Amino acid sequence: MNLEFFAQKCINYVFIIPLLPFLAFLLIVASGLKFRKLAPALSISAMFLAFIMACGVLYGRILSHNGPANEISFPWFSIGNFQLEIGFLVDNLTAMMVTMVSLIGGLIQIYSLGYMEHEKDAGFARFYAYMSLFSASMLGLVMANNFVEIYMFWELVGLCSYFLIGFWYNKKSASDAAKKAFVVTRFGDLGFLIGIIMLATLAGTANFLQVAGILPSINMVHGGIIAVIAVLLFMGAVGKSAQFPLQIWLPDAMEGPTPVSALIHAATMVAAGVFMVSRLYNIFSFAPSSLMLVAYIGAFTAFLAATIALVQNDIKSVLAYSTISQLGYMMLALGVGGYTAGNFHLLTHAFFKALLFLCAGSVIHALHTNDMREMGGVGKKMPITGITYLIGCLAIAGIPPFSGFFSKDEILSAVYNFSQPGAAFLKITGFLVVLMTAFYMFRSYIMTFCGQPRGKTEYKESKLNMTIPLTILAFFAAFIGFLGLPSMNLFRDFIHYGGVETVAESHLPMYLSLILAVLGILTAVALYNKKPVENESLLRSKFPLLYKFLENKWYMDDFWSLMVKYFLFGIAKVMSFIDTYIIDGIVRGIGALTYYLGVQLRYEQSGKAQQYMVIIMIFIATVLVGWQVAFKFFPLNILFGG
Amino acid sequence: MIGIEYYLILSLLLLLIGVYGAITLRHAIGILMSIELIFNAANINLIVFSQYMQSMLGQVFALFVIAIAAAEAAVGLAIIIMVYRNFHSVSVDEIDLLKW
Repeated sequence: MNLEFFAQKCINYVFIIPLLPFLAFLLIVASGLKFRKLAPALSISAMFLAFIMACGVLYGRILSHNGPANEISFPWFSIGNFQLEIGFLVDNLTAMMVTMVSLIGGLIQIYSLGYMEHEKDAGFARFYAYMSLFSASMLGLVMANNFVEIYMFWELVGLCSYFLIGFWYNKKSASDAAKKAFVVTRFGDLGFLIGIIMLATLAGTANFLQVAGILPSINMVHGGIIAVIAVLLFMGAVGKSAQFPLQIWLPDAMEGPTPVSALIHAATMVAAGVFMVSRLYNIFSFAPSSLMLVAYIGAFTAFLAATIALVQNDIKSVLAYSTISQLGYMMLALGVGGYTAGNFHLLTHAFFKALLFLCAGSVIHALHTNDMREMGGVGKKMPITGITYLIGCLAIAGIPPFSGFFSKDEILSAVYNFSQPGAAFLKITGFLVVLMTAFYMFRSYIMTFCGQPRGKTEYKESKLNMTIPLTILAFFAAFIGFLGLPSMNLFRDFIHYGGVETVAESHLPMYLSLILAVLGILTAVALYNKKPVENESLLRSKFPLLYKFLENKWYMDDFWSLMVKYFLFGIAKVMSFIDTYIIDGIVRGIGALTYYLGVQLRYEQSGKAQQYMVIIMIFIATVLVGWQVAFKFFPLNILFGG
Repeated sequence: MIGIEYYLILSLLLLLIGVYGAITLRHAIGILMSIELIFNAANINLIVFSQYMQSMLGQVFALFVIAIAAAEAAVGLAIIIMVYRNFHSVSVDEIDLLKW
């Protein structure tokens, strides 16, 4: 009984959840970033309290049995008839996201105690301040109840990622990566903003539930405009969730500290894009063509990133590309109508990707290198890290009973059952990526943790504050998949769109993906178990062109720099020309004309009193004569009553 | 009886002579004298209209104008003397400091 009361209170006061880490951020900043112990204490306790409340919210939502969403809102301001409110919408999706974000965020902050131990006091406190703000923004984002609010938090998330990617701002590459992440995601956000403005203008409100109610009538009146809006909104998700063609910022974001990468890749930032598409799924489902676009972009991104991940030697890069690839999976699932599947994968992915990143961070912390060619045999000296990393790999590769198996199976069944034209492409890429995922993840596992050491040998297992979060995450990564066990369908009952979707009847995709995953693992073992570095260079010499292509990331960076160089700078030059010569020309012309007239007219001021007198006489004479003439020809005296 | 128009023509002529003198003369005293002519043209008008309208108002006003003209002449001459002391000249086309 008490527990239910607590859950109800949590839902009623849900806005406290993002406020807690935000308060921690304010306090850390207010304390002048001086106190090494205070900052993490505040930050972690805020996250812990937020997690408790989030659990309450989740429990409350479970108790409500898919009841209507709880909404709290306060008016903010109004422009004309347009009411803007600041509000908090709690439905099942929010409950899931809030719990996930606060749990993973909290674990990452505990882990950072160990990982950031070499940081100076100010940097350490700054790190926790940003982490708190980042978590607060993401928690706010998932419970926003209107478009303006979600956009606000959306940008806050982007800003925090900028701060954290560029955390070591003295390093040129880090500050460059931060700028790149910010600018590239802003590019997508532009579309998001335009979409929001269009939709809010058409609907006359920014509230999600009200917009959802008005959508059918907009669709009746304006027809195709919803597809345009959906595509514009999706642009925001493309930027944030690093989908093709804006995926280029995510690998560079590895310049930040590893816990930041874990947070960005698992719980916040990239999850925001997928969450947004889920939140606005009603808009997307009004325009099936936009959903097709989502599916195609997702599938292509998954494929592209997986191929690049095959050849990366930096352990964090492998994980970065695998994130892009898995996000592609989520988009693919959402695009083919697998709302549950996409969100389930978002959840499981958050756990195993956070786990993988933190493991990689643990290795990097011990060995002081990112390069897998200088690792090898780490598993013997760091058994906890090794085993948890293996669990993460098994999960992401989709081996039962680990979590990734269930979520990926749902995605593949959704894709398999998809029968729109062009579905063959989606199916083939979907299954190919399973193979590649298993391959590159086990490649990274084998190169890092198996075989003989190839680099530094004096190191030991990380401390408890790093291994405990790893163990907890590993537990979730291993077992959270059972929520989606087909016979029970707990997750599907909790999160679904419209009616409960059709459950896959065929077991073919499951067997196929399992076979492909095992095949990928076996290939990786065969190629890399012995002499990984030598085999790698052998492969490289056999397929030089392919390697060059993949190592240059499909030349996407070059494509964008060319685009910027010629297209963007071209437009900028034209604009600059117009500004300098036409706009400024008009302004300067008016100034110059006035000056010229002044220069000429000043000679009238001769200083000779008699000359002035002549002018006055001529003026008076003209007025008198003119007055008479005017009244003769135009009898205006009527006007004066005469 | 001489018609009113003759007086008005006389006054107009006086005015034009005064204006012409004020514009063309170089000597400051000459200009002052020309301005006296313009004053007196106005005075003639005042008196003529006073007679024409059978009212004493115009004549009284003319007396005031003469008094003010005397004061004005005194002030004008004083200014001219000060100008002469500073510039060693009373030729108005040489006194043109207030210009561009």
